[in-house]
Amino acid sequence: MNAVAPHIEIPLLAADSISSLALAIFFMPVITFVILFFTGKHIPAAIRSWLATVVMGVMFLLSLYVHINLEGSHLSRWVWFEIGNIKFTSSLLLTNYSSTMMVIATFVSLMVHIYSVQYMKERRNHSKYFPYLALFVSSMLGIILSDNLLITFIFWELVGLASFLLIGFWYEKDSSAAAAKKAFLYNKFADLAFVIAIMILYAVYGTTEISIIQANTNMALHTSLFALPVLAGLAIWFATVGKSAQFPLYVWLPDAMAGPTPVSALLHAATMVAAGVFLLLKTSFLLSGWVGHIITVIGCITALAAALQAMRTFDSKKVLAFSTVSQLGYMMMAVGIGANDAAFFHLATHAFFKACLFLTVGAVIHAMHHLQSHQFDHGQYKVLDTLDMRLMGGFRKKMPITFITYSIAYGALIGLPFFSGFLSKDAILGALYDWAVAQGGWSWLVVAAAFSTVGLTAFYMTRQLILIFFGDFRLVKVDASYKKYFDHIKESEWLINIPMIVLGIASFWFFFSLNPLHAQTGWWMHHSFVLPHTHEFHLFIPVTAIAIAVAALVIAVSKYKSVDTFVDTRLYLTKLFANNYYLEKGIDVLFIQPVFVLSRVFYATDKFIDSCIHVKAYFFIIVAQMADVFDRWVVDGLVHLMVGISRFIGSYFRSFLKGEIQSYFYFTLIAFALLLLLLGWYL
Amino acid sequence: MDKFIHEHEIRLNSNSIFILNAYKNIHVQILIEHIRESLQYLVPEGLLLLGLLAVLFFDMFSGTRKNAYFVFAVLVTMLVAGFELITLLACRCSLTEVHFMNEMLHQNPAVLFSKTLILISGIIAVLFIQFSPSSQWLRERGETYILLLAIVLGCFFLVAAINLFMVFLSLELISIPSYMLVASRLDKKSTEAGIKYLLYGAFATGVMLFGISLLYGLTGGMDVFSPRWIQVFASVPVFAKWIVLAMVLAALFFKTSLFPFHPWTPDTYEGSGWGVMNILSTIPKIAAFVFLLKLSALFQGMQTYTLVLASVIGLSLLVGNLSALIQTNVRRLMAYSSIAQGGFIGMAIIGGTDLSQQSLFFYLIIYVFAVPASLFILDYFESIVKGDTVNNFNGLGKQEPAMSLIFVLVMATLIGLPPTAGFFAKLFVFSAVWQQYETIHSPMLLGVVGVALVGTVASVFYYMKIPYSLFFKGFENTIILTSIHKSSLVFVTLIMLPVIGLFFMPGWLMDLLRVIVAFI
Repeated sequence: MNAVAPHIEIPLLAADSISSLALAIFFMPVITFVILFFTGKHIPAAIRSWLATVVMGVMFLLSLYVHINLEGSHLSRWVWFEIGNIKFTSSLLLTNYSSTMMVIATFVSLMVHIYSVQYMKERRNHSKYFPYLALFVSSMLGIILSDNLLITFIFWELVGLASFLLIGFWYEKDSSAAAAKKAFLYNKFADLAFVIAIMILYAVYGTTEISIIQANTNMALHTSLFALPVLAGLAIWFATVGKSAQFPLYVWLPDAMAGPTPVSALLHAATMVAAGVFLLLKTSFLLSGWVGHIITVIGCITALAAALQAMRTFDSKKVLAFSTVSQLGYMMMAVGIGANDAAFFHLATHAFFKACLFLTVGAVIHAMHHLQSHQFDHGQYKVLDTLDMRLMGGFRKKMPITFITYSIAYGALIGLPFFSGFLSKDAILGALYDWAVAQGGWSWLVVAAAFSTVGLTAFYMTRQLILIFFGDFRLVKVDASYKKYFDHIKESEWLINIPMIVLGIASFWFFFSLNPLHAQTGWWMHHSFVLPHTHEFHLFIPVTAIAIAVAALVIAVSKYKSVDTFVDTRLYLTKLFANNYYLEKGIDVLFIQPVFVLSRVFYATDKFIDSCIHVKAYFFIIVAQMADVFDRWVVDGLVHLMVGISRFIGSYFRSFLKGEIQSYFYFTLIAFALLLLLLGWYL
Repeated sequence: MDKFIHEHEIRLNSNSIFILNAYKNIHVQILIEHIRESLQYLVPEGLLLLGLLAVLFFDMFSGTRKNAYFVFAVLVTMLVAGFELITLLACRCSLTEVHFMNEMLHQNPAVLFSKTLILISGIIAVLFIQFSPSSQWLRERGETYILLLAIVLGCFFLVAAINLFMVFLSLELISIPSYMLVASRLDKKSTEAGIKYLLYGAFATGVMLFGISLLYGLTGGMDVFSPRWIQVFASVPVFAKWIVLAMVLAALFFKTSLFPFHPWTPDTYEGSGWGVMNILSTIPKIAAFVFLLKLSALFQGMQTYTLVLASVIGLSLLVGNLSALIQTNVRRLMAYSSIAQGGFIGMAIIGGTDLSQQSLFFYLIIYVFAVPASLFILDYFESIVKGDTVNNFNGLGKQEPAMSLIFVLVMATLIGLPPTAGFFAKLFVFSAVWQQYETIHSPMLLGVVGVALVGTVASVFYYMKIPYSLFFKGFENTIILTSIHKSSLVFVTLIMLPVIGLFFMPGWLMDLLRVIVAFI
């Protein structure tokens, strides 16, 4: 590698009108953030929420306009700052990918905003909620639009910050604060890899402009298996392992459920976890063969492991969190085999139905909260885990709209035909099949895992559906006092229902492709999406997938149909799953403890050096102490001794003279005689 | 006079009884002529006597029994006497040593200077009584001034005495008015103090008389300053010599409140008022020290005398300083400190050299100003806070900043710290003893220096005790302060001026003193 980075000419490109518009969209939430953050409680909550929501709506419409009017890719680049001769540029790339992602992000954000207006009403710390959301969305837009890794990294970190703030939104709860901290630290660890990637790429190409790197990278990739750009690709992938919650760093995501439910929806659908996949799609040109394999394998493991955990989880939001992790595993598998279109398609469909799922479950949790607060209003306060599915049940009749929208999103997630998830999952499975055919050998294991994950997904989602919406309301069996409040439960407000309904509709097939069985006829994502000839249509793949899903569904129904008592299961697995396969312990043992050991060794070494210095210091201290003692006891002491002795003698003499004249005489006579005798003897 | 004639009869060796009667007549005439001639040397004493009589006269009639008259008479006579003394000092005719009153008294510049000092001290004492807040009872009575003048008169005779008989008489002349002054407040405490003083004084005088009688037996004369007497005394056995000498010195030790004749001091000082305390601690002490100095000059080089004095002074320093340390009552504190001061002054008379004489006078001059100042300020403070323990003065420094500041200076003078002449006073005293030590190399003198050093350290502690509570303790007195006496401040400032001034030109005074002590 040359010491000096190769000089690559970086042309500056003026922004055209559509790029300017995209930039304007990016800046809108920034302004919202600034206004809302600094005005804070000085403006009423309603104005706050609606201002943010309206801005988001405008952003969505503008994004839609940009998406519709976008032809080809629009790149604009300008000098960010200069240090000497080195120019740091900033750039904005508008392609079909980014415009589609903008639409998805703004749309889901809009839905979440509308939902939040009602859901977050009169919640604590309300004044900070919408600014944080705005920060979150604007950072995400920054990642989407930026064509510069350095700029991307800034927004990447801002997304991390915003997620930290939102996960820990109810920071007075210990679990919230801990979850926020966990998410932040896991992400930061992974982000180190991003920094490494940026450093490698800057060293190699002298720039962090993605499009320029892409233009220069093609030859370099094939020269060596461990060429620096390949390693940079690996590092970028590792950064996404954190952000997009891949094995083994996905453990932060289930904990991140401690944040408000709309935040979870946003986090899982359009902003946080999508950022990783989107970045990987943008830099997919760096991922050569073996890195891709790693991505696929890890994605496969992630999909399977998270799905297994979801089967045993009782926390309604955590089930969805694991399902997100699992679906991200799918996307990563697709990215790893180079099926970027399939991955992106799944990212898009997943954004809608997962947001929908979160919002519907959130509505149920909202209802559960109402139970609790009703009880509180009646003078009782009981600790109630409002997220625990074991305490739910029977919400189907109480909340039909919620039930229906949940069912739609549920169908999409498990990949039933006529739902969006079917299309994207089919695309991924088809791509995997083609890849396995080409690859052979161990790759069939990946395909098998992908297919079994379909089954697992169907199983745990059916389980959740039954536990929440069917059967009796099981909380009453624990505490009969909830009975009367349960009777009062009704459908949520329309501000909550409308986003759910809209997202539910968006989970149907027609929203993406007019052909319910194949995505080739996509309409609004036509430019960014799968070209027909990339892979052949295999009929047996959707059939197999549906068969597996239906089978799992049937098993789940048969298993949970009659379960109205507590759903208790085998403890080994539950414990294993509940502890995230002891991943954290493993990380602890493998990385943290060795570091501690190392640090202890260093500490001991330091201690030794210190003690050597201390011995010297102590020597001087002792000398100083001795000087001090000398000063205090000998010098000062002499003075005090004199005074003390004097005092003693004085009091001795004084004791003679108690005011009796006779004693004076005695004293004088005796003293005088003694004095004279003594002097005589002396002479 | 009979005794006198009898002596001369023996001395003149009358050959026949016939001649005796004729001689008697002639001799009486000679004597009367001698007395008449001697009177010219007693003008200041005569003036004081005149003043005394004037006060007595004023006191006889209720119309004139006023403080103003008394003070006028006393101050006029004192000032005239002082003028006379200074004229004599400046006059060349007084440079020669004159013995008069039949070898009873003498006059030389040193004596005149001492008398001047005593007179200044007397004037300060009168003024003290005028301004002192606690001396109303002294101002009301003519006796105060009569007794004061008698004391001054006694002191005049004491410093001029060259005969032990005269010493005894003048000491009694000092003592008896002193007893009366102490008791003159006529309350229980004052009377008790007076009685104690009287008893103790009688005791000391008795010891002295015993010593004088023994001395007379040993030497056949009381004219201690005559060369004949010195010769005879030199042949006296050492053991007898120093016992007798010590006994003679007893009354002087009593007057200067030196160990072991000091126990009366605290009780008497505490019982008497501040005005009387001032008189007792300055005027007689000056006289007694000057007389001791004369004796020192006489016995210069005589180890017995030096050692007696050294041991007495060393022990006085010890007792005075150390006892003062534990005092909380300011009167007793000042009493013990005056014992200690006596010790410091006494250090100057251990050696009989010129330096020690100079340093004695230097110290006395400082003492004459500093002690009244200290007592006066304490009196002033006491009258404000109505209490005489050190704690009563807590925080008074903020209420009386000027007075307190001067008080700090006064205390610094008494300790011997710059920028006051007390520093030089102590310095000269120490160097005088050191010079003496270098001459005779007696461990006793070394001991005196050591004790004096310890005493100086201790004196910092007890003298600064009062300024400490003035400035560093919180004001806790609830008594509303009485009106500030501007005159008090002026008085104190004026008497402290020489002390501060002498710090900047001690050489001038020392040069003057060198001239004066040359005549001792």
